[in-house]
Formats: sequence, structure tokens, C-alpha cells
Amino acid sequence: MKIKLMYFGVIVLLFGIVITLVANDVNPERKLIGKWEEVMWKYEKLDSSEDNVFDSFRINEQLKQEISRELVIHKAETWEIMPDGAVVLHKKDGSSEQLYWRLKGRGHVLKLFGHGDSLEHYQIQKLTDETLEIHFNSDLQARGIIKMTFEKAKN
Amino acid sequence: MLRKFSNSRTLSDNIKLGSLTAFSAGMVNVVSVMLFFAFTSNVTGHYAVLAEEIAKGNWYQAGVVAAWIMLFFLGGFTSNCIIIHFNKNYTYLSHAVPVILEILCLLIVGTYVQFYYAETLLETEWLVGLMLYAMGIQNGLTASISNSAVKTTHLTGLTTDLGMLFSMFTKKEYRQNPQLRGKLKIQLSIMVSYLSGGITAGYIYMTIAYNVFYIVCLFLLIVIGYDYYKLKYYELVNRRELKSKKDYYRYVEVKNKKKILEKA
Repeated sequence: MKIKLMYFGVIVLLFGIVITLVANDVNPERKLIGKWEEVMWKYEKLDSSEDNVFDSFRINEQLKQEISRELVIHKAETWEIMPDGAVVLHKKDGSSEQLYWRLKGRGHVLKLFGHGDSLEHYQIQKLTDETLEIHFNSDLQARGIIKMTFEKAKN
Repeated sequence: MLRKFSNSRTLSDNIKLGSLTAFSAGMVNVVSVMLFFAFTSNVTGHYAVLAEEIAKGNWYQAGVVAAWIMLFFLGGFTSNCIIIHFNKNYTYLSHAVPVILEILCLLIVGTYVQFYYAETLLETEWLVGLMLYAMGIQNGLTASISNSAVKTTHLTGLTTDLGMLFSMFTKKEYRQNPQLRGKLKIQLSIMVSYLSGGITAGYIYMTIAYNVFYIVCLFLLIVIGYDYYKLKYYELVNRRELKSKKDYYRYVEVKNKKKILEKA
């Protein structure tokens, strides 16, 4: 009887810890909903001139456009993530495009689809109430990870 | 594969069991990565991720990963619990029930994904959890009945063992040791099967999508069915032998009676 109680106690304790952890934090799906403004693009590795080593991770607009040419997020400045699974990409010129989003894994992979056959997966590195940081692997020029940082729009 | 327990198992039993179950584990792992972006037979990675999420203060994700690890643990607990409680009286059945449970889990995942999966995070978390439970059952079963000689989802340990074995084989005395040679055969067959399972699943997934789950179930059914067939076969052979022995004794008895009557 005692051993049964011990087993039961351990199971309750372990599941209790899991439930407490999950209940005391916001689901990444809910954290992601809102309007995110792009603030920065960075590269893991970038061809740079020798006299400008310290600024080698930052890229200029032309390079950014070239690298993101194949991506559905191309030219998007603001991402509006809706609770119904849609994401509206607001572009610089005032136009917008609608795609769809899903979270995968433990909420660390953002899947974007709805742009023809294109399917993109971004690794969510940081997701707080204020900041969203996603990574995308690219084999173009920069040979490495593109890091995109967003801040939540105030409105 | 499933009829014998612990030390009564032969090398061939362990190779057959290891190859087939590792093949299905490799398939499940690759499909889960492609479909859910989460490993289901790589628990070492989950421990690392759990630590990372706790360090980052992502409590929700930490809770999810902790639940996944616990479900894998629960899978091992379930299969070994069934085996140690029913092994004496129902050897085959106690080994087959965990495989049946694993098949059920994978069938639920496959059917759900095919007909109802709306790709919400909650669904993904539950389905990955169910697959981890299935893999825990499988690993617990194979390790338990083979005296820990076969662990089909434990590739970290297997690769370490293989490294050690190959280093031992630099000495002639170890190369000629039949036990070590047998161990090498098991480990290599598991590694090759796991990898081939993964490659096959990747290819099948790209062509017939979610049906890959049903193929994994088919492999597991072969594991159960092969042993059931063997059991029935031996039962039939034994009965025939018994019957022919009875006929023989009856023949001898009649002959002796005739001799006695003739003499009289």
C-alpha cells in the first residue's frame, strides 16, 4: 500500500510541475498574435571589407532585397499576425499580402505558407511580449543564418 | 523474437528484433521531424532543450518538453511493468501487448493527422507526446526482453558502444571473442536499420505523405505475427510428434499382444 502511494505521489508531483509550468506562462501561439514591426536584419557571416570588420553583420538594403528575393516575406516591413492563422505582410509601398502561419515543434518553428507552393520555416529564437527574433537559414552570399528582429507595434 | 526472454534468447533473435524495431523507430523519428519539427526517439536532445528553455525562462516550452520526457519514461515503465508481471505465465502475450500498445499509439497519430490535424500547437504537442510514449514502450520492451542487448532508439549509447568495440578489435584476442562479435552484429544491424528506416520514411513521406504511419504499424505487426506463427507452428509440430509417438506405442502394444497370443 505504501509503495503504491509513493508511486502515485511521484506521478502527481511530476505532472503537477508540468501543469504549473505550462499554466504560468503564455502559450507561444498567443504571444505571437499582434502587429510586429521589423527593426533589424543581421547576418551570421557576411563578406566584408577588411577596414569595416566590426560592422560585418549589418547589411545594406540592396543586399537584403537580393537575399530575400525568394522569400515570401520579401519587402515586408510589418507582420500582422492574426489569431485565425492568417498573417498580413504590410509592405513599404503601402500594399499588403496575406499568408498563413502555424507553429510547430514546441512552438519554436514558425511555418509560413499560402504563397503558391512556397513553404518557409523560421526558427523562433526569442519571443517576449515586446520582441520577436526569428532566424532563417540561407545559402545565399551571406552563407549562414539571417536574424530578423521585430518589435511589437504600440497601437 | 518475442517468445523468448533474457538469457534464453539467441543472437539471431536479438538481431531480428533489433533490426525490425529499429527500422520502425527510424521511420517514426524522421516523420515526426518532417511533420512536427520535433524528435521522437532522441530523448538526449530533449534534455538539452529542457535545460535551455529553463535557462531562458520559457516556462511553457520547458513544461511541454518535460512532459514529453515523462511520456517517454512512462512508455518504458508501461512495457517493463507488463513484462515483469505477466512474463511467467504468458511470455508471448506479455511481450506482444507493448507492441500492440505501440501500434495503437501510432495508428491514433496517423489517423488523426490524416483526417483531423489543423496544425495547432496544442495538437502538435499531444501528437509528439503520444509518439514519444510509443517509442518509450518500444525501447523498454526491446531492452527488457533482451537483457539490455537491444535498445532501438538509443543511438547515442549504440554509437559509443560501436566505437569501443572497434577499438577493442584492434587486439586479436577480442576479435576472436564470439560474444563481442555477436554484440557487433547486433549493434551494426540496429544502426543500419535505424538509418534505412529514416531514409525510407523520408522518401515515403514525400510520395504518400501520412500513410507512412500505417507502414510502421505493418512492420510492428510483422514482429508480432512472425512470433505468433512460430508459436503455432511449434505447437502443431509438437502435437504431430505426440500423435505419431502415440501411434507407434499403440502399434508396439498390438504387436506384443499378437506375439503373446501366438505363443499361447
